[in-house]
Amino acid sequence: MSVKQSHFADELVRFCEAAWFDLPLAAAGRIAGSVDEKSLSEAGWKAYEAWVGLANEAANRLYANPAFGEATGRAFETALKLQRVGDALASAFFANLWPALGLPTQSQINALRDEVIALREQVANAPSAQQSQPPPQPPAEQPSASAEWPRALRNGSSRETAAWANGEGKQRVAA
Amino acid sequence: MSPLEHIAGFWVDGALRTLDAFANGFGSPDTDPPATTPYEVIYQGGKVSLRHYKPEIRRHRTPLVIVYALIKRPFVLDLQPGKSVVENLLKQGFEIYLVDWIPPQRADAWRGFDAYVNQDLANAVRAVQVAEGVEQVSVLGYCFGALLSLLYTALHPAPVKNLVTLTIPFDMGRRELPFYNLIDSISGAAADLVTDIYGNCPAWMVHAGFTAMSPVHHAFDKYVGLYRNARRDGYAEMFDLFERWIHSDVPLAGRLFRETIDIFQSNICAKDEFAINGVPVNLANVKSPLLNVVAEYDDVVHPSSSLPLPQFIGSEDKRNLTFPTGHLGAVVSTSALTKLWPQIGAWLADRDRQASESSGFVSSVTKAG
Repeated sequence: MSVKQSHFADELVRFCEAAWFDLPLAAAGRIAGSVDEKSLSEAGWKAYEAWVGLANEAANRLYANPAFGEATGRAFETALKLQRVGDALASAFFANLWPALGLPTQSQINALRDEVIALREQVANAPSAQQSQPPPQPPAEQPSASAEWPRALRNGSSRETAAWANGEGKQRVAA
Repeated sequence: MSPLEHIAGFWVDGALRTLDAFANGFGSPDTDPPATTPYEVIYQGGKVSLRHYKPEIRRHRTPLVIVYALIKRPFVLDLQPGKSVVENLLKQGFEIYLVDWIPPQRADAWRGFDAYVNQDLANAVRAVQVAEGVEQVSVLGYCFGALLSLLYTALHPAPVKNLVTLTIPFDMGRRELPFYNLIDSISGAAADLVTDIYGNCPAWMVHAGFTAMSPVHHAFDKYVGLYRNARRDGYAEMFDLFERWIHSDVPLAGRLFRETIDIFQSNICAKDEFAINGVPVNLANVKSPLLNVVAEYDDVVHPSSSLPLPQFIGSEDKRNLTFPTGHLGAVVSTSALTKLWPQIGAWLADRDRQASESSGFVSSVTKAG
């Protein structure tokens, strides 16, 4: 498999060549009038690309370093622990502040949201919203029906399903 | 629908939007640009919204279900006219269904592979079967979606006629991409902390992971590229779309995040030790034809992670298709759209033709209604 493998040393050589040799040479040539603007520009971009290659390779080497990986993992975990402590302190503070100001807490908002979702389900499944056709039988050799088997397919045929999904049903469901 | 139900519907929608805005800190706008190719949503349930794209002229009997990754939004598959996998496949005459994963909320932290594969994906495939009146569908998964497709096919082989896996992260024991060493450093305690604090793995964390894969590019080089190509027709527009997609990360459901970390760290897929909800995923159960598409210069999923897949599955008709492109190039580059996708389409068409001949499907060209 020919994934582009580049090595730090190769990238470093490429960068040194482009930035410290080709580019100054082109610049000097331009000053002397022997090199046109386009060639100087090309040498500049070549140096830039070499720099990008070198920087990418440096990042790759850093990632490949086990000590860096370990340090990153520890820093990540520590930051999360600190965040949890901060969250606990903040919620302890605001848990008393919000009710004093008459504002709902996050958990109250979440509970209200769950209640509204349940209400939405109830409205969507209301008997008058359903059609009278019998539900289609799923083809044989199917995986077991899940708890979330679509209301859409309970409502009727495939075309009706499409109409349901794209008409009023979709408007009702897609928030 | 009665006026009362209309009013109730509007009220519920408004209330949900307001509560969502509170939950998201009023800072989570829709990131999807207007759709390039028109579609209709034929099913919504669980965390799936199933889109149906109709070809102008249908040439193949078996519908194609595209399973997108859970990581970002799927509009990269339909970016622009002429830069669209969906458009490409429609022109080839496929009836397309796209699994658009609905981003999980905090209440969805319980969702793992079981919910996504055995419920959502199974329901989506069943919805296609019912809509099309067919017993089997072809399944094409991209990146993480390819892994979901593979797991689904292993657990529910009957409805899958053909399986195409595109840049699948399968053998995660490979460490050719140095970034993957950092994933090894995430401890179980840290992963638990993420789900304790956030419920799900937040979108910004997913985004940070992708940015860290190529920091120089994201911090600097892509803007230089924009400057250099500013005069190229359509480049700036494409750049904007790409940026929009790059920033379209969605959270990863809490349980799925934990399970994915396990897959990456223990490589249980390639060891054939993966079990979903206690049921072993036996890859030998995959008997349908498999086309495993590998991007030769993939810097997100290394080719050596994808290439071993055919050795593990039970199908007799299986092959790797390697194409000289990158992870994203496989779905947006001109060369992929002109050379790779016609090959994928031809592979599917061949298998569709064989099956149609054996089942007496004569009229292979029908005008879509």
